[in-house]
Amino acid sequence: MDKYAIETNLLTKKYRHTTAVDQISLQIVQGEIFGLIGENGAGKSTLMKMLSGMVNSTSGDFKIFGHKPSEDKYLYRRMGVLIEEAGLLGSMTAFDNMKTKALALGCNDDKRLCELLELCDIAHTGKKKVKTFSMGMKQRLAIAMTLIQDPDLLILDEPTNGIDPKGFESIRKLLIRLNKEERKTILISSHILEELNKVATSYGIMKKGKLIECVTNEELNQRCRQYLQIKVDSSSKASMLLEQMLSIYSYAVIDKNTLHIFDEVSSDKIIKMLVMNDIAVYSCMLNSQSLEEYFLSRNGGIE
Amino acid sequence: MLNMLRSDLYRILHIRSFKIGVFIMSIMTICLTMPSVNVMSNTAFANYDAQIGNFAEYLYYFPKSAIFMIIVMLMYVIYLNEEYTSGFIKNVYPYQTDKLKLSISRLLIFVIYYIVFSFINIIFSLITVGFIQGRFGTISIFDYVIYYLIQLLLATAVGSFLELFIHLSKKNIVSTILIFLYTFGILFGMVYIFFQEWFNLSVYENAIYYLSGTLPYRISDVYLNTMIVGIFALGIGVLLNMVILKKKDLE
Repeated sequence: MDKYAIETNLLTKKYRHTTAVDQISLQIVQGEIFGLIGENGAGKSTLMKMLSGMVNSTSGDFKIFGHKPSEDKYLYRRMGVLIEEAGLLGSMTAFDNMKTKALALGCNDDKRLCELLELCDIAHTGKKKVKTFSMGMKQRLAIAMTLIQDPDLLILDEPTNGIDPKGFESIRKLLIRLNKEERKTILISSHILEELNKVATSYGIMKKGKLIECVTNEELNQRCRQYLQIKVDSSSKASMLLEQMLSIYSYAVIDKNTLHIFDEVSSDKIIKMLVMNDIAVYSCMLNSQSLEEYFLSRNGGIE
Repeated sequence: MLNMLRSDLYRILHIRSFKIGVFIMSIMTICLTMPSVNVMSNTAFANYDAQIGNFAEYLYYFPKSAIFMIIVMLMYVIYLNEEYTSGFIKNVYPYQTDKLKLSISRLLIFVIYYIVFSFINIIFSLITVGFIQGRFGTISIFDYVIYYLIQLLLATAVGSFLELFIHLSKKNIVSTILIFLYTFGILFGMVYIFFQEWFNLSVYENAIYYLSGTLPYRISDVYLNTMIVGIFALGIGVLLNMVILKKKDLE
């Protein structure tokens, strides 16, 4: 079995005047929930569209489960895709929408379709036309439709658009269950970073078409953990003293006056030691960074 | 392709536009065949007189009548257009990696509509002209089947270009204009002027004339010429659709 669910190699998409996706090389390990984060126009949706066969790449290539799409004509059937709009036929019922897609994919199991509608909490709609559905109901139906062919990989672009907090909670549980119990790999993008933080196991940050950083959840938690921010007259001297006098090694020198200390040490003790060694301490405060703040700092603001 | 066909048949039977189309076609057939109802029943290339016409004549008439073609083509355009406007294409098209088969499967919808609406015409005209008015006429089944299939071929060739316009524009306005230009013979008139004026070529003596919808009632060499033109046009249409489906992004 191939290790990676998705591998891209210098994948690029250029439109007439813009480069939407710029030479992205990315590996998503099977079984991961990979959160794709970036500003509007960062290229997340375009990248997802290329991976799901909706948009042709300008250059570069990609593999899904170790195969290029040109090598395996059934490859896309291993993927369930929801990108931007739900893509539903408004004049038909939820079940009819499911059935139409299922028949096109060669699935003809009505029982399974009903189970999926039940799973996504949309089974109660009966003969109601989709055009009368609320945004959240449409989105839940769209998610149910991505699961029709029992895909190994789910590509979900803003799947929680228009869904209320309760609905989001059920979708989150569903995604985690699909990932844990059925080992489905999930590539997901969302603007609600704190919610994304509850499901994703690793992240990719995109900016202006480029993938600027890939981090695992552990690495991210490490970077976002609580720290003591100390402003001193010389951070280089202070860092030496921290190591020598207090055996503190988990710290980061931010600039020539600022230090972030991640070890849990009493601030009194640190200040006392620095002052006694002729280091002027201007300020000292306990900080922590949320996921959102972290990405803002990496991105220079998220719209 | 078979899966797509099953999916399309299921969808056709569950959309409102199909039911409306069946209703309109039924009413129009009754109106066209009832002598007491005065409905304009001819185009430049197809005539049927409800006062004296019989069932056999109506069978030859309806495949080239403007009303029949307009309804078939409009239903087809509405069907394909809904896929684009709703975004449903994203749920289906990427999974069909063989774009030639996808292109053909889209065109089969046209054929389905054509055949279904033909049945409506046949059934209602049989009742009104045949059973009520008692005018059956005589017909050679073999001749008629050949005539009908070639007419279907020509219509499908036009349908392939409608499909192309939908894929290119993602809107139905261009296709709708084409429907009216074709069904009322305006397109043919333009082609006629083009060949006559620029190439001094008699369109009436060439197969292109028969693309206008006019076919003689009996098998002749003209059928063969028309068939060649129809297959050639259909082939070009399908290939162009395939290329567009391959190259165009689904945004």
